[in-house]
Amino acid sequence: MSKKILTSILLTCLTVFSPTLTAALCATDQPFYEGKTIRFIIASGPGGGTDTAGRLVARFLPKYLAGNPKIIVQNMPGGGGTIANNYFANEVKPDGLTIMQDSSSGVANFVRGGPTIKYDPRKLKLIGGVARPGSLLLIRNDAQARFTNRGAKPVVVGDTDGIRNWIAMTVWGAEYLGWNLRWIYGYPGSRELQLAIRQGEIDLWATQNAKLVNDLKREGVTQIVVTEEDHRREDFPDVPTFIELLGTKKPTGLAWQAYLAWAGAPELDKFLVAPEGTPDHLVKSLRDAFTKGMKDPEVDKEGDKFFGDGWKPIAAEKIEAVIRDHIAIPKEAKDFITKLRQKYGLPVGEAKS
Amino acid sequence: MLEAAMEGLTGVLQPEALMFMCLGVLIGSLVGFLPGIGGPSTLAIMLPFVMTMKDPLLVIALLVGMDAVGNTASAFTSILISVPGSSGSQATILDGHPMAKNGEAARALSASFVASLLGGLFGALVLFASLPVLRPLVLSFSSPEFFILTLWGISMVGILSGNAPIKGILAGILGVLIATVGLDAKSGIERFSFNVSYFWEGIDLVLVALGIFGIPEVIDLAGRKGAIAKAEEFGRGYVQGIVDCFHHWWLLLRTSIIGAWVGFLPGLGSSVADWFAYAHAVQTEKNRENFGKGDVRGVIASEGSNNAKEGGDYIPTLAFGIPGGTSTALVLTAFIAVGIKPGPDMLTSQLNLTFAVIWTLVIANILATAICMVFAKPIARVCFLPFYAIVPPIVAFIFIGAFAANFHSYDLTALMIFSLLGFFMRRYGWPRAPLVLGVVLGDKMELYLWLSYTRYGLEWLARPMVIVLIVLLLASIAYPIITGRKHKPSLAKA
Repeated sequence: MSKKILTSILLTCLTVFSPTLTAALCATDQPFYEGKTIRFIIASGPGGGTDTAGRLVARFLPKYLAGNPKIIVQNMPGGGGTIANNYFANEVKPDGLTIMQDSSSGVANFVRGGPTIKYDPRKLKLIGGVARPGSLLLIRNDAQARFTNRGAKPVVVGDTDGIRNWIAMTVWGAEYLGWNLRWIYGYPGSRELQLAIRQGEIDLWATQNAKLVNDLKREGVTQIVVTEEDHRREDFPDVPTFIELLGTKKPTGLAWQAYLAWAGAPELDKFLVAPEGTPDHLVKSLRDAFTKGMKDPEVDKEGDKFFGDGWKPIAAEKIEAVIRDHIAIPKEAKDFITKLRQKYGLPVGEAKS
Repeated sequence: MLEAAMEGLTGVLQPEALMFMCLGVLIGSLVGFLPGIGGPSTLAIMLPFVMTMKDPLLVIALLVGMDAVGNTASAFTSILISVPGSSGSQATILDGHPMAKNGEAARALSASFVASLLGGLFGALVLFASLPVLRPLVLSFSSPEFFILTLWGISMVGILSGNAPIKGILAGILGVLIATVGLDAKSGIERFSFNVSYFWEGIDLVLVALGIFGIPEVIDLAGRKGAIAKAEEFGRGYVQGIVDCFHHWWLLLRTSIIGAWVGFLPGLGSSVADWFAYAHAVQTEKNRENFGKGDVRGVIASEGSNNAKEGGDYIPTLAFGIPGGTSTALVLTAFIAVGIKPGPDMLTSQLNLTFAVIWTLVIANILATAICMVFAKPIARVCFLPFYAIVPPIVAFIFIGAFAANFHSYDLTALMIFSLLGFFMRRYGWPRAPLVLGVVLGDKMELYLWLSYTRYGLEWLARPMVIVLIVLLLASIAYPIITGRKHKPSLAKA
């Protein structure tokens, strides 16, 4: 064999096998996650609430997981979490090495249904979640005069997929308070929406991020209209709740049941999941690590910085129950939502049961 | 701003970041003087590994460091053996190699290194100076303007692709089509997925870049056999080359401005910058009869511009998320993967990272020049490395990189398909840069068109800034055709 061929083979073997050989030589009786890498999918683009929550968890999870694995974060935006959820449910091995930061949009899209939904959130293994204070609806200062004037150009509401929880508030506002709105959707995430409201491409948007809300107000871009919570936010005591704003116009019966079904429970915000079929002992390890991580003072500090005061960790069992309740809304309420969505030009799917 | 500037500086001066920057500079320099392994190919190879890193500062230090200096060391082969180490050093050959033949290789090399350094520093300065105007500029743009910018980017790369504008445009369209594969980001509807779930996520840019650039270059290198090339004598005039740069400071400043401007314009790359700068030097300098026969001003013009271009290139990349060329498109992919968010955030909450990019451009250029100046003679000898010592590890790295991202066997099949496509495109003179840029910008283009239409109807076409950009776009397309592409900028090898 010539010297050239020998050199080539030697260099190739060294490149390919050196990590494997090192790992094999170092292998001992070790915790499952030792020396392993977890793929951490975030069901959104970088920069929004789901991403921020995901990156916060990804930073602290390995510290409390026996074996201190490495974590690779991968954003998978699109379709309000549909792309990531479809991929996660159908492509990911349930080996405890791939987990996903999901959000309420993934559940809402499932409820809306349609041919694009190829997952079932009820089958996911919940690890834990975080819930932030309710969204604050913001309107550009230069659009306020048109907000309730149906004769003027409609105020433009921007969203990723037209299904987020706070969109319910705008639809019910248009229906019962005469808000003059038009919806456009397709923005990849909160970062793009934030830019769009600054640019004036959209006039109305909601976020839970207190810092961002204050920044936009300070810059003279927006004012706060309302908060979606049923009680006033501690950090924004002067901002009325949506129920206060509805006052005597608050609908009752099926219409309100439908609103609550769309707006969802406050505990259903950002949550971490493992795929269906993940072994119970691995799910338990992940849940324990998540719970311990959430008690870390540094997580608390970082969470306050990004989400504002009032965010809280939610136990896996609680989120599982909320998801089940959210999906089990009556058919009449679903039909009511569908009718309103059709009326206001929002995307409509086929309801899942 | 001062605080962010200091934060950016201390960030890149952390021992770990500095180490990664040195690594980036070394890889960038190595790639620079290995003809056949271009900057985009190396960035593509690095991408799967870099995307696993968590600290954005380390990613900036490594990738920006690597990207900033590729054109510095590439002067070695351009001058010594008349083969451009990178697409940005093609014009350097015109005077650099004749100087080497005249026994002045050392003078040409030192002039090119100092011009590269000063050009690179000028590019960083331009990026810094643009910061105050970037925010209002970004906020004055909306989806319609962004759509035209993406269209401009792909069209320009296509049009300026060697002697094949039609092929360039078609390659760009193919790239955009590849970007449409997968679940539609707005609705989740399947497109071109043929009921195969592998396609849901779309075609991974890493695989496209590795296949289109990585493998074909390696095949080409292996096809040459023997050493990379025979080198000319090192020659004389090492100190004189340094003096030349300062003597011709006005030319260096002008060509650096051209480089930074070319970098700022979407779609134009360093392979255009050096030709524009060289043409400018020939048109404007006195005593031009020596150009092409070994005039040091030709080397200074070309090398100053191609490094200045890097700073300009990062302006649209950081401010709009629209990369100026293939390299910044790949850097941008890594940035997004590690949580760096191009757009107004880069001028507010992430201003420290913008400064980290600027400082990396500064420090990397100084480091690369120092390495090239001090180790010029031993580095020149690397040109004698036999192909069989270089090719196998690179091939292994490419396949590991493709597989490591998802551990999916289909990724290897996709890599081989794109490698074949890249090989045939290279062989039959089809430019590859537009295809990759099409993949990078395809989904953005679709998104901005959708938002433009749903938000403004057809009225978006009447927005004043859109009209201005369309006129510029058409002029950019028409100009090279009308002038018969006088300067023949070529991206065909990029």
